[in-house]
Amino acid sequence: MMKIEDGDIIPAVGISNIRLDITKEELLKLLKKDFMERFREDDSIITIENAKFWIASDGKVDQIGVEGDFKGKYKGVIGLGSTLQDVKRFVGDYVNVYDTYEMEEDKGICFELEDIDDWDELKAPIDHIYVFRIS
Amino acid sequence: MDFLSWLFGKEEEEAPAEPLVLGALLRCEYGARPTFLYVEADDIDINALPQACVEDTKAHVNIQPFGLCMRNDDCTFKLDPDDRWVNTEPQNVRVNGKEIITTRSTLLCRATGMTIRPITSGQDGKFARFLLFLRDMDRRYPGLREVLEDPYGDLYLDGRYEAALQFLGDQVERRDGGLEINTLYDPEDLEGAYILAALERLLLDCDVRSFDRFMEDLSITAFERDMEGAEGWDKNYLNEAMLELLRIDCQATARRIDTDPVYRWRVQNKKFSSWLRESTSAMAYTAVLFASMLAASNVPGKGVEDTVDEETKEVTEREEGSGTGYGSRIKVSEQKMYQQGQHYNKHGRDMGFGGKKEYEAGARDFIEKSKSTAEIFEGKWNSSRGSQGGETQIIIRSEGKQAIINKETGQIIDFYEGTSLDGFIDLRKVQ
Repeated sequence: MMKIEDGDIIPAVGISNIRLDITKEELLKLLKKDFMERFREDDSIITIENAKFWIASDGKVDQIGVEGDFKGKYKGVIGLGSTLQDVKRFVGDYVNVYDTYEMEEDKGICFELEDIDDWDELKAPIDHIYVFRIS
Repeated sequence: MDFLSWLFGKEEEEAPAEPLVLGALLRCEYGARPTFLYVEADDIDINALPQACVEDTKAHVNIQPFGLCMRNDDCTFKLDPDDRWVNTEPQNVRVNGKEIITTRSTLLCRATGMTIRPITSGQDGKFARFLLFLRDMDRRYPGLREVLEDPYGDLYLDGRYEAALQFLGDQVERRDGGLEINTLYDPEDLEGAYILAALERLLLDCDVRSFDRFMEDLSITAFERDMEGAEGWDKNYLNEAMLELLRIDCQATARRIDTDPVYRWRVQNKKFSSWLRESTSAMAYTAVLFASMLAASNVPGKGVEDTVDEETKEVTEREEGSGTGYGSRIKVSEQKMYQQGQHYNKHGRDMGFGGKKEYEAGARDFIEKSKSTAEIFEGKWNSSRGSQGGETQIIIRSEGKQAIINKETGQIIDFYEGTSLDGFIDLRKVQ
């Protein structure tokens, strides 16, 4: 299956060569082939091997999530496998929003943690990173 | 269906539809045997098998023949599937823009007017594993498979007995140093069938067609080669000691073939069991035929990658219930609870559960016991981004507790004490 290229994670802007706010058609031109699309009531989610793209009701990319073997970084330092301890140390404070963790200052990015044994918020590795449009 | 349900005339609940993937078992009402669905893909990952779509209908590519047709024709020459599978209900998942198909989809054969139906979804990966094994065998031991599949294929005259020894040695190593010979007789064990075929062709004086006979003949061979007292020797196990016996016996056999023309003639005319055809399941044998066809043709999807663990999940039935009966139709996925560790820390500990697994078991138990009578809501999760953002979730509320399930996947999302519906929008009560 298709993969997203490794590249910078920029909150509220995009990941690698894929930008938020582009149309679904523009996204599919970049992805070319080998994707799955799940339709929900008002939107849809396009899945490739190591990323997902949420297409909102306006037909534009509203959220991008990366996982698996994606190696790009946020602020050049935080990537998949980093911890919230790393985030606090190298970037800044975060806030827990239900099941995700968002940056207090830098809006448009959130993290999900891996569900490891002996789970600890500061030490569980980040296994998903999302950037999203800010309304 | 259990006896009481049958007795009281209760209708059997239809199993939820599962998306079809490469290896889904198919049946035609007129065909003599089932076959399988092949999905073209550049790479095949056993962890994420290629999903089939409505256009995967090409005869001899996606759909293999079903053997003898009840009209006394061979399906091979007349199989003519329609251009598209038919879905009984619209699917909201697409692959490369095309609707997926499920275990409820059907396909018309234009030659007979009969219906082709899926028997399994293929998600158990069984067929894909067969293909993986066969492809790996071709890569590591070129030409060996053809000899083992040929009833007249001989390892000594074809110069492949050392490749066969290597194949057996690798099998022993993969299985931590040994495997029980009686397990090789399982018709679903394609690897076992090839191992037996190799043993039959290496140990020319042993009859492998029955386990008991093989054991008797092995004892005689081991005695003749002074192996009975050897360390690790046990005729019931294919292990290092038996490999040593094979090496000794093979060298002796090869020398005899070179020097004894009468013996060589016997070997040239020896017919081995049609092991693979007679002793493996229909699916395993179909995989063998298909792998051979792939090797000989340019059908896409020749690359097969190595395997890792697989997971299965059930899909929660989509039901726009007006209330009654909604809960009893909820099917919870076997998938681990979403963010189990985090939710245990937040809620489970205070609820008195001793650990994460106990907490999740408690959630499953709560859902099972209360879903038929509980208050149930559906709503869209709106309060955070990430994987659950915008997902429709089911909230089961009973005795001051709530369990949340993702409506699409059936995965348990959360379980806690409290009745708050904060965070959801578009809420509606369904029971």
